[in-house]
Amino acid sequence: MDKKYGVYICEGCGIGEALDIEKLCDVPKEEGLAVKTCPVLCGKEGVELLKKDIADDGVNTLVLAACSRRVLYDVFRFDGCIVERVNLREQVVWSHPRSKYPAPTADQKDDEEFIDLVQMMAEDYLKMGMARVEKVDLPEPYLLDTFSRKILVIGGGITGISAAIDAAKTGYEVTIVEKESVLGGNAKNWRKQLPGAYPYDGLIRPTLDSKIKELGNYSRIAVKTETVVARIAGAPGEFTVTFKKPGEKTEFDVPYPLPDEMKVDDKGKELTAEQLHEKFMEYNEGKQDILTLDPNGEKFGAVILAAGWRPYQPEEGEFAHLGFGVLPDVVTNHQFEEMAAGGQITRPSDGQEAKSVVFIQSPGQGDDKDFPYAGAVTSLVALKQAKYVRDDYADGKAFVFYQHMRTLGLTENFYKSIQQDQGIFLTKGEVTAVSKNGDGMIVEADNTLLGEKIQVKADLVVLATGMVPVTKDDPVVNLATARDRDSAIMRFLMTMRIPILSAFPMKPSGPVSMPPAVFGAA
Amino acid sequence: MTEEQTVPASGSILVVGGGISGLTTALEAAEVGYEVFLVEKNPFLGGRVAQLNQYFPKLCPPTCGLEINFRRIKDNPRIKVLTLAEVEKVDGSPGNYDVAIKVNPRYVNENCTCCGDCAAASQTEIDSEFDFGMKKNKGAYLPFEMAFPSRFVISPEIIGSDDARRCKEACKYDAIDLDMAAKTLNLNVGSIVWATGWQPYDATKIDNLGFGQYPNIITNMMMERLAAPNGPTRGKIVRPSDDKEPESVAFVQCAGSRDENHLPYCSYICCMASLKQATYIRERYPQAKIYVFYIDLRTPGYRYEKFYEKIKEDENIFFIKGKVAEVSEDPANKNITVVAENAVTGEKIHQTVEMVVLATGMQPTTATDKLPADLTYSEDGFIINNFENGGMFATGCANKPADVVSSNQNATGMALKAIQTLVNR
Ligand SMILES: Cc1cc2nc3c(=O)[nH]c(=O)nc-3n(C[C@H](O)[C@H](O)[C@H](O)COP(=O)(O)OP(=O)(O)OC[C@H]3O[C@@H](n4cnc5c(N)ncnc54)[C@H](O)[C@@H]3O)c2cc1C
Ligand SMILES: Cc1cc2nc3c(=O)[nH]c(=O)nc-3n(C[C@H](O)[C@H](O)[C@H](O)COP(=O)(O)OP(=O)(O)OC[C@H]3O[C@@H](n4cnc5c(N)ncnc54)[C@H](O)[C@@H]3O)c2cc1C
Ligand code: SF4
Ligand code: SF4
Ligand code: SF4
Repeated sequence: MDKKYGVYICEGCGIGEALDIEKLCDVPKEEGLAVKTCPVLCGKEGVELLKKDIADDGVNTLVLAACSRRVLYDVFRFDGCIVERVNLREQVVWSHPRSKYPAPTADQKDDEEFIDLVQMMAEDYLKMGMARVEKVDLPEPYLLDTFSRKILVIGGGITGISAAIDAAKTGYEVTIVEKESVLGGNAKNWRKQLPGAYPYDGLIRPTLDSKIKELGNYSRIAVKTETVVARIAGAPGEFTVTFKKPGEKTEFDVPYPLPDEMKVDDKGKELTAEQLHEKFMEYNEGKQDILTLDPNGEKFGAVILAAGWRPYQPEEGEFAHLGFGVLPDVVTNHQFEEMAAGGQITRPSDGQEAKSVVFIQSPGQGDDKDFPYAGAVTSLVALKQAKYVRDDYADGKAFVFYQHMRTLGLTENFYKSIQQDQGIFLTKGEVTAVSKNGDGMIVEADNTLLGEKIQVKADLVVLATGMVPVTKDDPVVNLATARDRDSAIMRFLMTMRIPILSAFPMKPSGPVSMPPAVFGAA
Repeated sequence: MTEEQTVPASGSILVVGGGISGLTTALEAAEVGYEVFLVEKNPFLGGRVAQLNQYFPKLCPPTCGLEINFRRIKDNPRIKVLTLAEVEKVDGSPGNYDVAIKVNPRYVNENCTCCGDCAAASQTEIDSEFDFGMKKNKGAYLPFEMAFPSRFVISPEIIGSDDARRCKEACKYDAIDLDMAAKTLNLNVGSIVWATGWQPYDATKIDNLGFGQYPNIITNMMMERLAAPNGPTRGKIVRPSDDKEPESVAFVQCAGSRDENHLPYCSYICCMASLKQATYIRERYPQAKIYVFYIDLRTPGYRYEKFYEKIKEDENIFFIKGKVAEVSEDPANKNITVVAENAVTGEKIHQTVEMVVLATGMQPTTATDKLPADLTYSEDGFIINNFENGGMFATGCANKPADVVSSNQNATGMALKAIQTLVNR
């Protein structure tokens, strides 16, 4: 655009009193720019003046030396004009009051050497504002060639299913890709489900099946099982997605960035751009580069990551003091849940009834930390599972040893309801050892509410190991960008339990705004 | 435009409450094309988080996040903000609600430049609710520096007095209009999201913890204000009795929460809030001793656990597993002795400190003020969502105690629920 500049200096809000406005006007004048002053620029007359200059003189690039852009943004908005706000009020006059930084005396004014810092600051800000408008142009909206309103959901667990239903209800077309042969994810293996709504006080029937059934009501939702994403190319509103079977190799598998050690030659010298590209293509042999779009790819406007978690896999010997990996009847909460969903709770070692079950919430050893990757749900899961023992055996006993019972907010109600159960013993304490005792086991604990050092006979011991986001092992989203696995995006995607949407543009020419996330209404 | 499938955006949504939850719902809905009315009873937006000094776990100032949201509002003509406004009546059904909104007078119009001359002229001093009475406002005031909308307010208390006249005379910008009157607006909206938030549980009700009786026992929200650069002490943490810099501070967890006599539920945020406030103290007083009396430290999940781990490394922060049963004051030096019972050993612990912070919990505002709409409440006053009926939804702390991150997630979800009501009308 052909810029026609106009500089306007406001004298209101103490600016006129604190600054030498005439001198300030010299700044634009020296640059040959038109400058006007006004007692109250935001007042009727001030705004009229601006409007008139825009209409009559074609001024389209305005420098308003007045107050912060935080305020009066609506008053000083003029369509088709560049408006720069130079903040003389808050940044100069108000924060550097003349009471503290006195105005120059008559003598000082005549003194060539004397510098009035406040005046100088105002002049500098004005110069910066003028320099800025010279450089900037009005932003032009980025227009997409093809625009898709379809939503891709990666992962068909309870999160992905809920997201798809909510998006479909709002009128969007959705595709779910699930790498397994059936939907459901981890929730497939639950005997019962934690309460998710008021009064939060008892277990409920798992909602997964009814959710999957509901999914069937929407013709807008397509489900692709045994499918993963090979690559997502493009940008929000026009992603091109290539699908494949898990484990399959395709030319549209996303290329990996070169590891650092491959970016230099034998002598440690950095490679040239051409050499780097050659290396990159070699490294990613058989794959198309990131700029090549898959002609058979499907278009999507937005992507929701709902790939969930996998159970934490303890390292060898990591919890040996708790018998894990040593004694067959020490299992993780995940294994226990599967067992409970399959039928009555028994000992893996001999199939005998497991009537006394100990749940351990913290690996102990002098620390009050929970198991790695434990989350907001881990304490609740132990309480839920303790209830299974009571459901299966009228004389069953469950012991939960914890450092911190983490039943936040209203889920405290569930904790309180469990406390009422005579057969469930909840205590703070540190489990020090789990050892074999005949057919069963002995669990030793310190500093418990039941006594200082106690021993409990157990048929089964359950460790509250955590949930590892699948994105820890696998990028899942496979964005075809130059970014690496440690990039902000990948860290961002690490967050679990929350489906995350990529930017979700609302109309092709409009601003690309943040997404209306599709959360299962919790 | 080969692939486009249009989902038309039409209809309007009323969001009640301009805290972080309401802001989020309003913005998310407006940015996908819906018309939104955001109704806030205070003269400013931001709700409770505007009072906080820093956010856990990142310890950034809430003004930063709020400013981004305000910026989004400024750029979005689809959001109409009404401050000093309250819903009076709701009739109708999902997809079609008639709502009456009462807008109270601010007595200051859009000419206000925030010059502050009116406040300088006012001779009235009124306890600032925003600062829990630790600061006085003038009869004309700006709620806080970064208040949005940035416009002064005249306290209704001075209307009709000489002081009001003084303010008006001081204003060079013709911004004060003492004849402004309350007015009622009638709107028709398709769905309503209630984001009416929470209030600190009244600590004077917790008899055994001495609040209101001993000056050096404060609440966690007061601590936020003391630590805030725009607070009554400009960020200096001093104890109320003598403005001394405290050398020892005790935090009393679950003050009023998880207690059948007060709030039976857990307030979700007070464990993290106390750990955060320990960092406020540490930042200012490297040597101060800090004692945290707790039942359970509820800091689950990757970020919160990491935060707790970091605090644990501090040698001068002591965690004591025990519920505080009583407090007493030494009348000579106004120090407080906290008596707690160790949860595990039953042993009594006495600890004398210079200042005590009660980690008081949150109570929904709807526990005390029911809304003029057909809503269901839990025994504790939280609004229960009925997704079968649809149309009206509660979000944030109006629905359950929550931190900002969870409130925002929930608020985004509720924007979607509100939109679904409009789409499926
Ligand atoms: C023992 C235990 C019991 C629990 N009980 C409860 C309970 O009762 N109530 C409750 O609210 N929470 C419970 N939780 C927590 C709960 O498991 C999680 O909140 C829930 O599973 C999250 O669901 P999701 O859909 O996000 O993830 P997931 O259930 O893990 O689903 C993710 C889906 O994505 C698929 N997938 C993964 N990678 C890819 C890929 N690359 N491409 C395509 N698809 C992919 C997976 O196959 C899976 O189907 C429990 C947790 C544990 C450990
Ligand atoms: C000491 C303390 C420290 C905390 N620190 C943190 C922290 O560091 N990080 C964090 O994540 N969380 C923190 N929290 C929690 C945080 O304050 C809440 O998560 C957050 O305020 C919830 O926002 P909200 O919008 O739901 O409610 P609110 O902030 O309460 O907002 C509700 C809004 O609705 C308005 N309103 C109420 N009733 C009506 C009505 N009838 N009509 C119109 N308007 C109405 C209110 O004026 C208010 O503006 C802290 C809490 C406490 C107690
Ligand atoms: S508010 Fe801004 S534009 Fe209005 S008089 Fe003050 S400085 Fe000038
Ligand atoms: S009301 Fe008038 S005097 Fe008061 S701050 Fe606004 S412009 Fe200044
Ligand atoms: S968050 Fe902590 S202090 Fe607050 S009620 Fe829950 S357990 Fe008590």
